Amino acid sequence: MLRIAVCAKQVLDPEAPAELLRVGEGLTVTASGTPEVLSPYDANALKAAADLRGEGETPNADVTLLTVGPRPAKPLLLKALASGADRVLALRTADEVGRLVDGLTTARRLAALVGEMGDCDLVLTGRQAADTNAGVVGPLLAGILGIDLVTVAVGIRAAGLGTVEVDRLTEGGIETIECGLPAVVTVSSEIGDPGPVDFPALAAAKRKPIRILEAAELDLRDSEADLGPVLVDLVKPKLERTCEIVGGEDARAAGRALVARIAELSG
Amino acid sequence: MRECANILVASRSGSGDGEVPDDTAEVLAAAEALVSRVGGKVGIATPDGATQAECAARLADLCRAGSYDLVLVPHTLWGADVAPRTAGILGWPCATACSDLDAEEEGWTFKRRLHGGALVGTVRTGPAPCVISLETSQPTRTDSGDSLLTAARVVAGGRGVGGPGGFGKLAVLAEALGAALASSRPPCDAGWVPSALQVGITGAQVKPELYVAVGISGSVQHLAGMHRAKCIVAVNTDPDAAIFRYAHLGVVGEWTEVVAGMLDRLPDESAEAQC
Ligand SMILES: Cc1cc2nc3c(=O)[nH]c(=O)nc-3n(C[C@H](O)[C@H](O)[C@H](O)COP(=O)(O)OP(=O)(O)OC[C@H]3O[C@@H](n4cnc5c(N)ncnc54)[C@H](O)[C@@H]3O)c2cc1C
Repeated sequence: MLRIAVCAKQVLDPEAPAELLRVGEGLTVTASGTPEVLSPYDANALKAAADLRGEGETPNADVTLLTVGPRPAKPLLLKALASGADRVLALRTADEVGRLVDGLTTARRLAALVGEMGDCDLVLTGRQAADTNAGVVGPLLAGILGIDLVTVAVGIRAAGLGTVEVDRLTEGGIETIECGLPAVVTVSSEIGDPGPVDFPALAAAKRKPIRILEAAELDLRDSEADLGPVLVDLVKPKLERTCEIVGGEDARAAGRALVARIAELSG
Repeated sequence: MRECANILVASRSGSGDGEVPDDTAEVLAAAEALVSRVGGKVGIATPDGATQAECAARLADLCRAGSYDLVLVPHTLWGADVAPRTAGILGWPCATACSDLDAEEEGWTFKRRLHGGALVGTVRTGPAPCVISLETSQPTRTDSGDSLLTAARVVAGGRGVGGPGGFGKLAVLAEALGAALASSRPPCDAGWVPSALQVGITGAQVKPELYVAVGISGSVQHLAGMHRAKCIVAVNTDPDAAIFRYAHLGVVGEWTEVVAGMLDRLPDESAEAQC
């Protein structure tokens, strides 16, 4: 059976209105009333894992959700378990102000969690996190684990023994490749998202194991983190402008008037 | 202040004759500007025709052999893969989609967009070597044969367009305006249009004269790909849609009606294309 790890990060809901974002002391980012969610591309990775796993009595894969961060949130973990994960393995870290940009430390921690799993054939994660927009953790993790890497997958299928077939987005369009396992695959939104969960799935999720490790329990050399990039300033760029609303008797007339205004403005 | 930079610039090769693509030329210029100030050397590697895995392995070898301590890659889909892949092999930190690279204290500083582009961070590295992908003024995706990236005019549809049929109608408007067709992310995810049409932080970043956003709400992630357009036009039924805070011109209304009105006033080719 395929052993899959899905690496997922908890972030402020990126679909919430951007004007709610505030930069506070120590460059921490808050957004009042905005819930945390699993970073959407990581949720896409979970969906890919759930599809490989399949439902029913004899699943084709076993899925462990790995997460690293200061506040692993039970409701989000339960939702992940209801969406196809078999268990959660979380690492609770100290709050890391200013470290928002250091993917290498995160990758090292995830590598330690993968080690904790014992066997792992396939590591899935999002193509980039919604807060850092970096896309470095998956590739760095592959490097640390010394295994193959495929980025920006838009489709993943189990192929022969020890391989998966991956459709990936490239500059030339979508290409399909066979990828030997073990491997890290980063996932894009075209794969789809897990969607809402129902009550039976949530009830079943409550019986699945959630294990939360403290940093001290893993053999991590945190001093190396000091070498990484640090955020020293964070500002809100001004992108807003005043929009001229073009009207008319009805929408069609407004469309006609719009063409004239475009011609005047942009030539 | 950092005293020496040994920079390796990596790219896919250009059209031949040792020419590098325009995006790499910009990265090279940034590298040379740094070295002219702090000293050091700039090398260039164009690992040709190889897979991204082979490129990264080769770059890592070059770094070790040539004692480079900074690898710069243009932030294309290719670069966004090769940069962290190379860093992963070397065990170096990596930062992607950076701009305003400069030397400071023992390391480098640069800017990058966070939270989908809603915030801009300044980042400082330590003395350790690292790999950085740099944004350039060149369009960030070069899907073959696609005119989107260089188009002077772009017509983009969002979820509000409703389906592949809606994009068919939008294509008529694009044709009439002499514009390329583009999309926000949901239509790509739903398979209404190919992913190559996606504009935004994870799609193409465009800078046309005119950008018409139809049925697009104006998320920061979409904005990141088009806010540099000279004239942004929004068509949306929701007067409170965020897009109206970023657009120059807007119409509040049902897009099929508004577009029909626009076509009333546009040249005749469109009328032919319509039937
Ligand atoms: C990490 C990350 C990266 C992302 N990258 C990108 C990216 O690169 N590009 C991107 O676009 N998105 C990206 N997104 C998604 C982004 O957050 C938004 O979900 C997305 O841009 C919304 O697309 P939309 O505006 O088409 O859809 P919606 O937000 O659903 O908006 C649809 C709009 O259509 C209007 N509408 C509906 N019916 C009509 C009608 N009949 N006539 C006129 N108007 C109508 C509605 O009022 C609404 O404003 C990313 C998200 C994350 C988390």
